[in-house]
Amino acid sequence: MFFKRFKKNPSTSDKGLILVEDVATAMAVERFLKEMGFEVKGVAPPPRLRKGCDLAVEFNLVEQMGIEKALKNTKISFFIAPLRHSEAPVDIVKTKDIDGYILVRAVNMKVVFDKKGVIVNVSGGGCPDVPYLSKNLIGKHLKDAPPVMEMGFSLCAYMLKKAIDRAMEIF
Amino acid sequence: MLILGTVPFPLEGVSFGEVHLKEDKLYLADKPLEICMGTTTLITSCLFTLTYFKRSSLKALLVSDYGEGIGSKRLFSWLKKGLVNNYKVICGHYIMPYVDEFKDVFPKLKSSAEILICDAGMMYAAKASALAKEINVFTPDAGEMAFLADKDVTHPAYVKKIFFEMDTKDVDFLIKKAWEENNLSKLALIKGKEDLVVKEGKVIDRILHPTVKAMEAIGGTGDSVVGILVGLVGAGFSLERSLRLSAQINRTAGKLAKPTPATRIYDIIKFIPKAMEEVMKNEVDTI
Repeated sequence: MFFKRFKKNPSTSDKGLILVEDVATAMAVERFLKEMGFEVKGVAPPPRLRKGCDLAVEFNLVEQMGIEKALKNTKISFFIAPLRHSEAPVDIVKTKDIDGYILVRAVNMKVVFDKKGVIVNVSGGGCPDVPYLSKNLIGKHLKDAPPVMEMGFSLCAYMLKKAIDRAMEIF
Repeated sequence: MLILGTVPFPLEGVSFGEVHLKEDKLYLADKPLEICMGTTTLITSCLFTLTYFKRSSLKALLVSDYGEGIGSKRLFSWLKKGLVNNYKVICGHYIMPYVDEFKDVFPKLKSSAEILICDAGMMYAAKASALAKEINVFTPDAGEMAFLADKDVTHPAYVKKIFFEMDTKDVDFLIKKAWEENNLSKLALIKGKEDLVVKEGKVIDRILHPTVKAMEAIGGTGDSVVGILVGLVGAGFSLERSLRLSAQINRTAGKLAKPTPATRIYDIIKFIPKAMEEVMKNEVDTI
């Protein structure tokens, strides 16, 4: 009974769609991402997400940053949306002064920098690139953070990038 | 007890075995492990806690993953093969929150442990899989609480603005909402300015002292409290009591470290044994 109860159901809420201009591009994107090791598949987009093409590429939403990074290198014009809802990642951040250090938080990701603009701590998140990015960001100046963030893959990294972008604006 | 998660440094394949501290260095069997924010901070904090009780039996299942997800998939696949059983506690930590993979291994995890504790990516996966109420303990912070309260989203990045805006102002509302939507575990420790112990959607304890402002800024203080929690449960404390004590011990370690927002996590967790002494001396009975 127990195993029956937790039998795998295909989930759509954790999936995202890559929307491009035409079917040929969608097929090329699917092939390209598969070659890169991502688990993707061609699907029909729901009407609210149609962008002139009736083929989209479905992917695992937590890999959004890695997918975007791979596609940006191809110069293909694309748009990404979650499959179940049309919300974009939240784009507001909160800031706080703690003993002269500035903490910037984008939902679940925090970056802290000192008066000289040096990153002193990174926290939050749940995806595996967070500890890796943290190791590589701490001690670096904010202006040197963007190349480090290129190593991120996940939605947590995506939110950390938002926090860092805001930190750079504040500094 | 078993802790499973990913690490941001090279490891060959999936590594499984006893973890221990030797001269404050962390090892899995004879392999040295770097102590950094994330799963190795959790493990080290757990070991420091167990040392106080003169216990040390702790296993870890670790895999290297820099965010590309391959390691996480390997770990899920390893779990699926069924080599896990009979643990008092299994605690899942940093991992790519793949929903289908989590659903696949969940029955195995559930039947292999008396108590399931999920933090970080494993908590995201459990919520996104609609299995939150099957988990014994979640350990979210304010931003993650907003995520749990928002029924439709599978990752905090997609949380509705309104929930993010209220996440530090009205945590009680978010708790109620998350519980009503079946997105909160039976027990939870909500980490923040006040640490809240929550049972079935109701706050049963608020831990405010000692207050160490800088801890909010330090990466890994959420990992350390979960490590202490696992250690206390492993030492025989009830879950509810362990939740309160873990928050008190973590805060006390912070107080003893006299941190600034630039302090690194190891400089806090090394005070866990002293913090244990300070907190436990005020406890009426031991276990």
